[in-house]
Amino acid sequence: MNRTFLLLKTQAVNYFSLNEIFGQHGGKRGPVFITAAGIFTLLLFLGGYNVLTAAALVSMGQQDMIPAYMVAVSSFIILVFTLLRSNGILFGSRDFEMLCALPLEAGEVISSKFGFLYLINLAFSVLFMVPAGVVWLTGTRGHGVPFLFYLVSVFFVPLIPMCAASAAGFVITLLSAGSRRKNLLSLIFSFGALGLLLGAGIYGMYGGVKEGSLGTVLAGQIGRLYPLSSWFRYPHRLSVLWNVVFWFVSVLAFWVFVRITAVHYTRLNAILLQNHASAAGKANFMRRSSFAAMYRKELGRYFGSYLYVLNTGLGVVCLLVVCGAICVIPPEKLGGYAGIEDAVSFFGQYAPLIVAAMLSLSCPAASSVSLEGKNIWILQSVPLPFRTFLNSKIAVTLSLHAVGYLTALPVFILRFRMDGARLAALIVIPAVYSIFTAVQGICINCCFPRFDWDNEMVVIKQSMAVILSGVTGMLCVAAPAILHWFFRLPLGMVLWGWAGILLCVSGLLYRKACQTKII
Amino acid sequence: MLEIQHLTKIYPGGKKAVDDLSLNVRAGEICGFIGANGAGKTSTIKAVVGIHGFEQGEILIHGKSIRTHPLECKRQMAYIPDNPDLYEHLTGYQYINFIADIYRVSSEERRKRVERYGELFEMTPSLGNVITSYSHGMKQRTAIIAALVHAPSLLILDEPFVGLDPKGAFRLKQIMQELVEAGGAIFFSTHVLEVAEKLCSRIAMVKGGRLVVAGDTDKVKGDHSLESVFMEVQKHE
Repeated sequence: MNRTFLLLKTQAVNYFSLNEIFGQHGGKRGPVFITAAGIFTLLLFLGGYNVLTAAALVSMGQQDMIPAYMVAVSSFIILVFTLLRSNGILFGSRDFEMLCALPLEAGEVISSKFGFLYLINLAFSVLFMVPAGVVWLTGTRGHGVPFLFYLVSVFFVPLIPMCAASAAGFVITLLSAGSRRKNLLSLIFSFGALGLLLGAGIYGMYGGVKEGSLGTVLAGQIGRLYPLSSWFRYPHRLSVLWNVVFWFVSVLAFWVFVRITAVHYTRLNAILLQNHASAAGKANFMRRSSFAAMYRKELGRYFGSYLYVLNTGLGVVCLLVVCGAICVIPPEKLGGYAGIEDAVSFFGQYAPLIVAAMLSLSCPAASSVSLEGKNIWILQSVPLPFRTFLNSKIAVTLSLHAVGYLTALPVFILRFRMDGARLAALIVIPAVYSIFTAVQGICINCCFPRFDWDNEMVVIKQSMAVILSGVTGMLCVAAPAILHWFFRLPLGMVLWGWAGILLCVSGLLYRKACQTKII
Repeated sequence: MLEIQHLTKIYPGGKKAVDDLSLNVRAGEICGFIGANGAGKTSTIKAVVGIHGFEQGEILIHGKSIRTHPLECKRQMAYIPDNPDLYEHLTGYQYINFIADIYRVSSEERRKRVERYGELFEMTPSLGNVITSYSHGMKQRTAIIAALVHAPSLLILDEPFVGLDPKGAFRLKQIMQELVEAGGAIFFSTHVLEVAEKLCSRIAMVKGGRLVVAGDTDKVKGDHSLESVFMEVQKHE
């Protein structure tokens, strides 16, 4: 068997715990199976959503835009996801030392790691392109040959965005590798790259010329989001040849990426996995409460992990970026970028929900218990009250939220018209959401802890607790909006009522979390 | 078989972990690498097996440089780290097969070796289970079996006896003896000086990244115990 394929297969079996899911090998099957079922359900929803999107394009008479639209959107999502994942899978993975001691070429290792990322991202291109492609095929006549080319392209679409994002990850790693504060630098660069990417995406979709027919506007938007998507429009029979060009360019991008990174791979990983001895600190024998000690430990754990901050801090960082944008860009123009009319009134009315939504996206608590990993024995063997254990983890999430919340409050108050009621809602509602997010995250993680991980990405991004907590957070943000939009209930009343419910549920969940036996 | 010539390893930030270290391990020798915590043992071992690069010097395995011919060198040796980080969601058999595939070991040979070492370390009943369900000692035994599956001529071990029960440690010593009798060589670090004294034909002591004592075990310890030599070295060098 080819060694790259062998490595890829081994990593996939290990990373997805396939032995536990499909076999009886003495591992714990239940929790892993539930996680797999959760991911499958999410993927099913995503596929369904894309069918609806494609059907909407058909109903607007824009069915010919479906292939280009799906290629552009799936490529954009793959780009963002790879940027979030590449450091941890491609660079700085825990099995690096073991693989280094084996007779393997750097190119084989990096190809297998890239192949593994590809497998994950292929799910996105399949889920976006295949269901929508079927709608495209059934909604039009005579697209059999282009459909076949489009279907084959599903396997090539992830390559270019993955190469671009991995190259960005590679450069970020390279730039920050030599620094003592490499985590901080990596985070700044990564968030900067994500901000640029999202900004470019939003500008591409909404910032261009908006005159002309719906088809022209849509084609322009899709083209700006991902220029290569224009190769997936089929005005005449020979247009399918552009798909062949796309396959060639994709494979070439992959080949060039592997060649370049293989040269520096070993050195870069060695630097990444080395821990710098920090400057000799003064001995500190100050006595602290057990909560303070745990809180300091949790905070250190949080900021000590690049992947943890990057994936769980995104909501707060987005909020800070929005605040920055609100400060420098007139609200009307900002609304124009996002396709919102009367932005001043919109932001004034929905400010509590906007802030709450972004805080809900950041929930370090949902993976904080699992992240104790094999070190859980330390806390299990010391006389630490379980409430203190929980409170310290909740406190870290609240502290993170506080940064976004305390920045957003003055910005929103100063920039938008707010009467007393709106002001009170802006102060109270996000705070309630913040508490709820932290408590539901910790409670779910206590119910579904996972300590047997060997790559923290497993618990940070795709553990049962994180998925459940993320879905719960999204539903809780969507609920008042749905009640307001579909049932015509006054937003203020809905928000206050919902906040009351969330507070009560938070109390119950906290009690439930305290009853679990983790330590 | 293993030649370390003027090895110097400096970590980013300027810390010199290994300083001009030269050492030879010949076929048929077991060389014990001894030093206090932070003396540079693991840094040297990681440089030997190709995990770490190094700033100066050369490391030769069977006369070939680990820098310029890493694959040829690695094919000749096996490395067992002090705390084996295995692919925990694979079964023991899957992990060993993975390593055997990397080294291109034939089915017949791997079956023979896995059966033999599995029995020897009493791991056969557990090798079908996922590694997450293993104790530390069982992981260590699995790492040893995987390391031996391609019959290496040079075995590099970092604190191999940590986590092994007396029976496991006895079996490992037995295998080490067999390997050198068959013309192989072993270079291993340890803090268990009694084991080093009985097992090793050569001893190398390192302090602050520098090799301070090296030679045949009998000559190094003379009429004293290895422990007293070690304590003396720590005091005076």
